[in-house]
Amino acid sequence: MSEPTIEARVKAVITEVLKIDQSRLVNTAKFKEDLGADSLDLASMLMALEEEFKGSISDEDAKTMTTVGGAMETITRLSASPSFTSR
Amino acid sequence: MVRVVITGIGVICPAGGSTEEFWNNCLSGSAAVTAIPEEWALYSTFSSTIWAPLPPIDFLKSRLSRIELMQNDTTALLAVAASDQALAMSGTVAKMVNEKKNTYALEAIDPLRAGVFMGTGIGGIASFAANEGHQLYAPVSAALRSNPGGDTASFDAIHRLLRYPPRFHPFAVAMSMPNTSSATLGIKYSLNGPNLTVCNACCAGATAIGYALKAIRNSEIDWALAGGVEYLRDGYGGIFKGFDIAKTLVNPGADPASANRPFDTARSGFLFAEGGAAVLVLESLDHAQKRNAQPLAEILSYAESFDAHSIMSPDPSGTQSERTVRKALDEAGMTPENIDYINAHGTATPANDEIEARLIERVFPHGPLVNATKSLTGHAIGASGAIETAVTALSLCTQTVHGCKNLINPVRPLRFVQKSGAYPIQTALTQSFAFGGHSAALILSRC
Repeated sequence: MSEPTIEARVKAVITEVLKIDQSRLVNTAKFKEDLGADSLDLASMLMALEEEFKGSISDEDAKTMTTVGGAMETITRLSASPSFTSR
Repeated sequence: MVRVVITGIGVICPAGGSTEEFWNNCLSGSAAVTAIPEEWALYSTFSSTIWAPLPPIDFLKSRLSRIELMQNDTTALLAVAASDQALAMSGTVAKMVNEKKNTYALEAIDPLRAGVFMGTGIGGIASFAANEGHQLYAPVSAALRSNPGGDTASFDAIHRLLRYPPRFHPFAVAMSMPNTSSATLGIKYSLNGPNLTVCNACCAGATAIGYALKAIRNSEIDWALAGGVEYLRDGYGGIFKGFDIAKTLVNPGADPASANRPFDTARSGFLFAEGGAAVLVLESLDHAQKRNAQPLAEILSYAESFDAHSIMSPDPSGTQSERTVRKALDEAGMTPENIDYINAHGTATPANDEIEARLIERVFPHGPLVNATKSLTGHAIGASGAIETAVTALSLCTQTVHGCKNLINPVRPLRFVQKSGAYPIQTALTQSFAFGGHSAALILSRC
């Protein structure tokens, strides 16, 4: 069986934290306005993504993650950096 | 008068990860004693080098999600896990009310008349220590990486010391505050009544149960989760060092397994526990009967007093501790002769055991059974009074009393229980004494 893609792993984390159906995770969906996330949910999601990808997400990178698509872009970009997964 | 009963008991401590395992280990005299974590030696030397570690705990088997394990201090996780055990034993059904928050409502419990009372010595101090480690070491580590200098061996040695969590935790405040456990329980089970955290050190668990007793007896509430929790492991051994430098901890000696010996003339200090939690379901007898919950034991009274003597040492005269015990007897409408069994504080420090043994000798010359649960669990500070109340209730319920492990030469000629066994006991006292000068006593009876 092939490894799950970064997209699949990010979506799994978002689903686990927000307890919403994956069908709602379109790229343009905003975490706060469209998916009902509050600030604690966002902090939890960052922690869970750091745990999943074994890397640290800076405050600046976190600010880019306001939508599902934004989160996937940021994690994809960070995952390409060797320092991200070496914490 | 409103009668108050215990209908559920949840325990997690070095002597067991569940109430059943804990009680079986108490009766068989099984105690966990190991060397302290090796990595602490990077930061300090210690006079005491042993402790009582917690057993492996799978928190996901409780009403806790993987995300909550990331969000919460270990004290809050221990409190929820122990509460889940207590709720199950008391026949309280929990129904999920919010999937995202993983919160529940309790069937047949009016949330407006249900409270939470938790004791702790130092709350979420381990989380505080972890975040402080990050705050201190992350910039030092970054500076060293950008400009290592010196020789490679020195650089590597410094880096070995720079152990810290990968992030400053976004929930640092919630995790570190002393009320993190009581608040977490109130949220987890949707309880809107009084929600209190008691922080009077080693008395905290007993006092929290005492305040729950009062709230139910005053008809402020009908039902409560009450107990104590502590988690004392940090990454650097700093919490342990605080007790070690105060010369309160056990000397491991030649045989660490038998070093922890409350009430023995060869005692040298207490065995530091990694942590623990005990939570009881308390409710009025009427309330328990209406929902067909089985009472395990009744709580007759609670009393407390304060030495006003020393922040670190008990008053050698034991005057206020004795007053606490006598007040508890008065409130229960009992005389000393009514007490069949005393679950003693029994830390194994030279001062405590001498003063406590003489107190028991003075107040209870008829010779009730005496044991010390800390001979099996070590000392879990704010959780200990609750763990020992749980033991007292289990002893009354099962008519069985555990032995004092490692007690060979008693400090005073009391009727110490040397071996676990069946004893007919109707009424029992559990007492706690604490840094600061606090004392607390609860009297329980068989149902």
